[in-house]
Amino acid sequence: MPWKEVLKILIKQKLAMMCLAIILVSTFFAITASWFVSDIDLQANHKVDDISNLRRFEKTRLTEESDDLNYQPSKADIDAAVSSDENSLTGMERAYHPPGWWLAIHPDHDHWKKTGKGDDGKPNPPVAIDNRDWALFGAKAWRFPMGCTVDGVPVHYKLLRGLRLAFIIGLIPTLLSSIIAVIMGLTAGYFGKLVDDLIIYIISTIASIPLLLLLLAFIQSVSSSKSIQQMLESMGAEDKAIRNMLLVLIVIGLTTWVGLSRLVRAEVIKHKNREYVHAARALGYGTTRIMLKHILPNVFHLVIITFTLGFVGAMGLEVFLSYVGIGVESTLPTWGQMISGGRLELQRDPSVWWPLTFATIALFIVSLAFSLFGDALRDALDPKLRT
Amino acid sequence: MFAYIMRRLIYMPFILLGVILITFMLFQMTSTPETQAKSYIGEKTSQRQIYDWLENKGLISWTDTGKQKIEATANGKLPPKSAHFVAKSFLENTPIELQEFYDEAESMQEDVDDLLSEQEVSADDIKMAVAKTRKDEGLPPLGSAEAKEAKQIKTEANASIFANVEAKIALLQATAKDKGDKQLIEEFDELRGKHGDLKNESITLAQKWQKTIDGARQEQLILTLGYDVFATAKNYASTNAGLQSTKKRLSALEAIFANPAALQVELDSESDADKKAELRTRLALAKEHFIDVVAIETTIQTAKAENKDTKVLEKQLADAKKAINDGKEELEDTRKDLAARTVDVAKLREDGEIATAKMTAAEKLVKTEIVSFEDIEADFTYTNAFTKFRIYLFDIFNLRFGDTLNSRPVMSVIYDGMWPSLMLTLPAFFLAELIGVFFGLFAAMYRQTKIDTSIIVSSILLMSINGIALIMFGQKFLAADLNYFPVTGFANGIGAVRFLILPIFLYIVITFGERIRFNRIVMLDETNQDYVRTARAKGLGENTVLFKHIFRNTLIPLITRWAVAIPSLYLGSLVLESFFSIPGLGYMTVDAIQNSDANVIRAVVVFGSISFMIANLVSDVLYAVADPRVKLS
Repeated sequence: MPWKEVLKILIKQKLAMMCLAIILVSTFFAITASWFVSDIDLQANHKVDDISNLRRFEKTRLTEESDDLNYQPSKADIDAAVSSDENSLTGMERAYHPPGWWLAIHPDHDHWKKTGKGDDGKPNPPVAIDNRDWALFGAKAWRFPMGCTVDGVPVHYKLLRGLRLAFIIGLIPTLLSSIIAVIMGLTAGYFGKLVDDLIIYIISTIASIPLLLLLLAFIQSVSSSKSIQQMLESMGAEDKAIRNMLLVLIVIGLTTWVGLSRLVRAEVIKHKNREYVHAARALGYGTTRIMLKHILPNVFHLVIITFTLGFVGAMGLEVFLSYVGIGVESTLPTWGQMISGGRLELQRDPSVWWPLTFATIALFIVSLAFSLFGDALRDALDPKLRT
Repeated sequence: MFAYIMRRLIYMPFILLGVILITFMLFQMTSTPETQAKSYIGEKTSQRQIYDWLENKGLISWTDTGKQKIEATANGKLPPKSAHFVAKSFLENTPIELQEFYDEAESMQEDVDDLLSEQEVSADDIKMAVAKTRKDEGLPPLGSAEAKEAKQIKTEANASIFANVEAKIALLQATAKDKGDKQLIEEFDELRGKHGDLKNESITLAQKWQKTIDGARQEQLILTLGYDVFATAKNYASTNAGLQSTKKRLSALEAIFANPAALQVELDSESDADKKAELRTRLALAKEHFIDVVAIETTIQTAKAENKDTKVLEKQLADAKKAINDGKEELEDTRKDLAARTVDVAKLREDGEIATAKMTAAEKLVKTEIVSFEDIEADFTYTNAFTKFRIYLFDIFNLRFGDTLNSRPVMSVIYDGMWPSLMLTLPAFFLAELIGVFFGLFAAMYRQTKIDTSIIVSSILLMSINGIALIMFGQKFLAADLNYFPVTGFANGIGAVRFLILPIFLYIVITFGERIRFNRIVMLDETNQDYVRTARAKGLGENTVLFKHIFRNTLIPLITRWAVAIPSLYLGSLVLESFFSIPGLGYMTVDAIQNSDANVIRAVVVFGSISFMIANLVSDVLYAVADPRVKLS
């Protein structure tokens, strides 16, 4: 593959470069997400009206060395705790806190005057408090640019951590499916005859089952199998939520390799009678070496293209699976969980639209960047593949 | 082409087999036969039912011991272990259930009383009718001492309620017949039927109860035997203790009549160590208790000879003689007592032995026969994977998919869910295709203009928005806020239309991007073909070229696409249906996933795969028919 020429073509396309920039920036944030947002930030459900929570609140905020469990904070202590951190709002105020600028636009909105709990027992968005400076360009208006979740966690914190998970969710299945597809496609295309027939049979059988249904059946049977759970546990995934997510990702990888392996096989069949392969064979190189060092680089563009597009597909599948309620558990801050959890939040009387909306926008930007870049890559690498 | 179609047809069974094999591996190999049985016949089943089911299915085969045990159970020799627990719960619950019937009868009596007062039946008539029925039923007359006594027994008292109500209803019917009011007659007939049902049910329940009580009593017997053994052993122990103390007393009494001197002589001559020890204790006792009458008599003799006062001595002698007499009597009594006690002990020992034997037998019955039935798991072998697969295959071909968790047959659930799904997906699919073809043609017509670009951009943007989020926003703004459509729900027949408009619209929007992209590329490919150039060269108008030439040729890939999509439309849309509560197959599948209802998921997956596969085949064949250029390699 003439990689340099491909790069030249790509650099000329502004849109593709913008997408690449977005991908690189989001990759950076995905890697460094836990530096910006720690685990404690995600658990910060400080409900001051609850004494036990207040104690925890107090402990973490003021007296971290205090181990006195019988400590009863006084009113003054609470005020001190709350006001000591200028950025801190009490838990009730932070739960479902709307974006600051939204409050600035709607200062007298009837919705924000409702307090207490909604029908589902979760807190309502708080009152727009008069003595706070909600001017559109004031500092407080941009304190929570995307609002807060029910736990009082700022949505942008959650989105940032979700970005990391989104990359994991995109990466693991696509990597796995690429590896399987390359192995299957290479062996089928290179050896031909009986091996080819067998692999084609497997491929066409798996392709005969609708992907979603195959996925559901797979997850249904795999997650109920204790031995697989134990195997994953012994491999180091001790957290059940992580384990279930890994399982889902592996299953997605195991079921989506069919398309790529067909492409690879067809390409390998074309390549295997070319001169350079004959030359390599004449030089006495082994089959594995010819397959991996000579043919694979020539069909690798297919893998790259499918990889970028499969990335988006895996993220979309995660949202679907989160909605259906299998695999990814609600304790993980994935975008899919935020989106599928947004259904009930959207239906509340003062509608809580911000977690859903911003998660959707984030997913939209990342998947748009990936699919546009993937398209550009495809056009540059292999114009014939356009479908 | 014929050869091509034939080859596809020959492939088909193999691929079908492969699909079924995959589902088999996914659903059968990852779970044990027992859990499968549970998923088929419900969670609350006994081991026995599970093994029966597995045997019927051919998933297990019994060994010889297993067969024997089953035969013994079938002949009623072995009560299943669980019978005890069943009996227990039944004994606890049945009185409550019975009481409900009686309560109902009582409330019915109140109703009937109201009716009687409505019909203005005199109190004397009622009394007479009730008394007559009670007499017929063999119940004591109301208000009598016997009736009061019977009231103490709850069931008797309640049974008499039924008699009362029956009499009153009969009276009601008589009055209705007198009046000739047809409606009233029917009404009372219904009442009577209801009452009869109530009575019959209570009677069957009571009989069942009685049966269970009998069974429970038998089980009680085994337990009682255990108590018998315990009681006998206790009795034996106390009697044995009495025997030992009597023996002690006897030896003490015997010591009174034993001469220490003689014993001493005996002890001296004795050489055996055990007997010596015994003699020593006897000697010690004798020294303590021996009353030497001879010595006293000689003392009296010497005292008389010396003319001394012997009054004290004589009294001493008399006392001694009396004591000896008493002792002799007591000795005699004690000996009798001892003999009696020995007999008692012997008898008790015998009793104990019998009771223990009975207990051991009962225990053996419980342990070896009742318990071992539950150990029947050891008495069978699982059939091999090949047989399992054969059974699975036959199940699928006979459409046996078991029951759902709500114990409805899966097949009927699928059949019912199919129609709402089709009502949603069929119009949605065709509308979406229509719009897709239109916009695809539009984009191809104005290719490389701003219209084309805007269509592409909007399709890419729409493709990147998550479908689920799109549905949420659509439902929120169009249905909940603006009230253009109902939020959720479904109705049968023509009323369903208003519920379906929004889902159909959302379906079109979600699939818009992908469809347009596909259609546009297909159509652009055609516009670059040589025949288009020829047509244009002939001087045909742009519209004629587009619709007569290009569109007809693009229909080939479109039709094959539709052929794949249409057969799986009955599966519905998983997400749309669950969002809008449309009771179709998609909604059902999501429900089944959330409840992990394996049977439904399996059925949906198998049906979906098979129809998808057949559709693939049809589309291949159609493609070959429509486009003879398809290389038949």
